[in-house]
Amino acid sequence: MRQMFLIAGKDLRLRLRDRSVFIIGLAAPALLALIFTFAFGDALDLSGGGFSATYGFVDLDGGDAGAALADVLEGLDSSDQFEVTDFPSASAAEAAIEDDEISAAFVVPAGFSELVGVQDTAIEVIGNVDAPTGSAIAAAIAEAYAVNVERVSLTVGASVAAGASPDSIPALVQAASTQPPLTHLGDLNTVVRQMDGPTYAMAGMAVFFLFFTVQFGVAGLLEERRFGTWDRLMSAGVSKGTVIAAKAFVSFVLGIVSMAVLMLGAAVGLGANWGDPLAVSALVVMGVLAATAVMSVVAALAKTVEGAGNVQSIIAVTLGLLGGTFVPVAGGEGILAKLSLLTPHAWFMRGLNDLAGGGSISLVVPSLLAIGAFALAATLVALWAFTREVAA
Amino acid sequence: MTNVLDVDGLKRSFDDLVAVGGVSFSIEPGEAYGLLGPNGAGKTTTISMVAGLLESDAGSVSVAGKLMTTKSSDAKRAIGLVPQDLAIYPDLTAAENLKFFGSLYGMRGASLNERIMTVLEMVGLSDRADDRSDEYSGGMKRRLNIAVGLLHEPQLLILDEPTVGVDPQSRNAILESVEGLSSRGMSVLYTTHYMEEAERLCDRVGIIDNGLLVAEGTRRSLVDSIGQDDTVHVTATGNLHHVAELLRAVEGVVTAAEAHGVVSVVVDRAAIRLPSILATFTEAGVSVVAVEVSEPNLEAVFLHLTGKALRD
Ligand SMILES: Nc1ncnc2c1ncn2[C@@H]1O[C@H](COP(=O)(O)OP(=O)(O)OP(=O)(O)O)[C@@H](O)[C@H]1O
Ligand SMILES: [Mg+2]
Repeated sequence: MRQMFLIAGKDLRLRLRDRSVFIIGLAAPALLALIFTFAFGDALDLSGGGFSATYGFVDLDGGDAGAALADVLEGLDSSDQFEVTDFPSASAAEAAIEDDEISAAFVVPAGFSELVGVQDTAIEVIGNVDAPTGSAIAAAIAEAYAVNVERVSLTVGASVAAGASPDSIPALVQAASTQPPLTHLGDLNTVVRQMDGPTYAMAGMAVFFLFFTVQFGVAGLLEERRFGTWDRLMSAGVSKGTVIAAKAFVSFVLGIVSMAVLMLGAAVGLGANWGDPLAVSALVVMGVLAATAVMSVVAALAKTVEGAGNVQSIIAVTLGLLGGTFVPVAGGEGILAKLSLLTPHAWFMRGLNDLAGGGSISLVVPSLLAIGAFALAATLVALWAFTREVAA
Repeated sequence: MTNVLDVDGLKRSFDDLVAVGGVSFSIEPGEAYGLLGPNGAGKTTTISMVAGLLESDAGSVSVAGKLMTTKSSDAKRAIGLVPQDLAIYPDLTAAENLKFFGSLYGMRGASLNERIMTVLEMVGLSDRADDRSDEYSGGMKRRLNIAVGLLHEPQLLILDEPTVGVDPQSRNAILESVEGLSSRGMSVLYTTHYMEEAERLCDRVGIIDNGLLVAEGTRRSLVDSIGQDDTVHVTATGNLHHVAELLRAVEGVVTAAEAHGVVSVVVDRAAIRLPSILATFTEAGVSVVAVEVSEPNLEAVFLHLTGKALRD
């Protein structure tokens, strides 16, 4: 143990003497995160102050149900982020979408109020392909509203059967249909459970560069060989396991320090809100373990420091891009989104996204398990690679 | 008294290549033992097994009575290794390198610092203790490499060709440090392919070729063993390989080999045989540049025993 710490201490000293660890571990991710925040801030920002959408509303029904939706949208209109404009016809709304004037349009078909609950009818949402987020939110609002309309017709039906006067029906519909969608709006954060832009950028860059930072630890194994000091360590009676443990420990320390400085820095400097500290710490520790394990595999299999560096960079970039550290890819339906779940990065980002909406460690158990599985698998491969090398 | 080192029947192959084919020798306390052999003879492979860095296929090593394996930290503690290739951290100063390796051996505090000063003194680097070792000259790096091996006061110091690729001045400094250590009673195992180093430093020499010890003894006994033969070195230009072959058929020539433009000929009496030797060169159409006759030495012993020049 003493020897392990002596070797780790020597390595940390060497790493700190060589400034590249500061550049890779701190300066580069911080700088890139800042650039992303200021250059593409609005595009990144999905739920915070930067996001806005203009919706069209076409009421061909003129009945109670249409009026109720109009009320909901009026509520939206009064918020800073949304604006709602009336259009006379669906084609007029479509034209506005074509011209990118609105993100989506709600169309209440003729006779909707009468037909609800009697036969198939639906509120139509026309989305703008150039405004995917705005469209998705519009669809979510419409869906939530439609669910309530069905409940409204059931409620009204039940009330009438129970002897309510037909005159009171409009009021009943109004009461039953207006509130829930508004409540739903209040929950927008849970629909789009997501870190805000600067937070996302910093988290992405921190975990992206983490996979480079930990290289500085495990690559030290190859360095001992290059310097010829491996033989000296062995002749001093140090075991191979001790040397490997020391290198992994250095990776871990560098990884934790880099993540901690970046994330705390973002909290202070950019107002990033990471969520429950315990859960965030667990994600970070698990992420650093996974990064260390992956890079250990390469260090164990590589022949030279340069060779290892190249392979490690390719792995770090591939996993990082796939894992959505630059652009969010997880959470969608595409093949890329599915593939991204094979990366610890995606699970790390997902975990932080989950925490951004509040909640404690239980919320990120799936992420922790996924990253942990990744770390375990990589550790086993690394151990196999090390014993293979030792046998040679 | 137990030997500082006992090597018995040591063997090691790499795939089909037998690097060490059964080597045995011992070193007594205070003795300086040289392993003399050309490139690829198996010196480093032998040393690696002696130091517990490499598993042997067969045979045993014990250091000061303790069995050496790749896992025996007790036996390892008794040796100080100076590897053939440099084994120091270029980004650390000499003092930091020494401090790190010393602490691995459990040394610490004032006694470690004192010891660091002592070994730096021994290798003549005291005034450069706080310079990073990548700022050192090649010879200084080598001397630091030796200092690290000495640090924990081992019972046996193992040096693997410590003067290879070093300028003459540094080389002399290294030889002097080793001589000094040896005269103060340090047991030394020294490998080299320079005959002069083995002659100068070692009480006994083992001659190694193709993974086998072909002869062993004091310089005197080895030289005596080949009788009163002389060695003639002929510097010449032309197909020397062919000349060496022709020379072996000349009367009185024991053996002949060429290396680096020099044909070395072991001959019973140089004074009598010189004319016929030079005639052979002329016959082969090779022009002679210089001729030198030397007294019997270890190089001649090697040539005699293996039919090869030591430096190839
Ligand atoms: N790890 C290895 N794998 C394969 N072959 C090896 C290995 N180490 C040594 N050898 C071979 O074993 C033989 C002996 O090598 P060794 O390094 O012991 O020679 P040496 O006497 O130290 O030579 P030199 O004076 O050049 O250092 C050589 O033929 C070498 O190619
Ligand atoms: Mg060698």
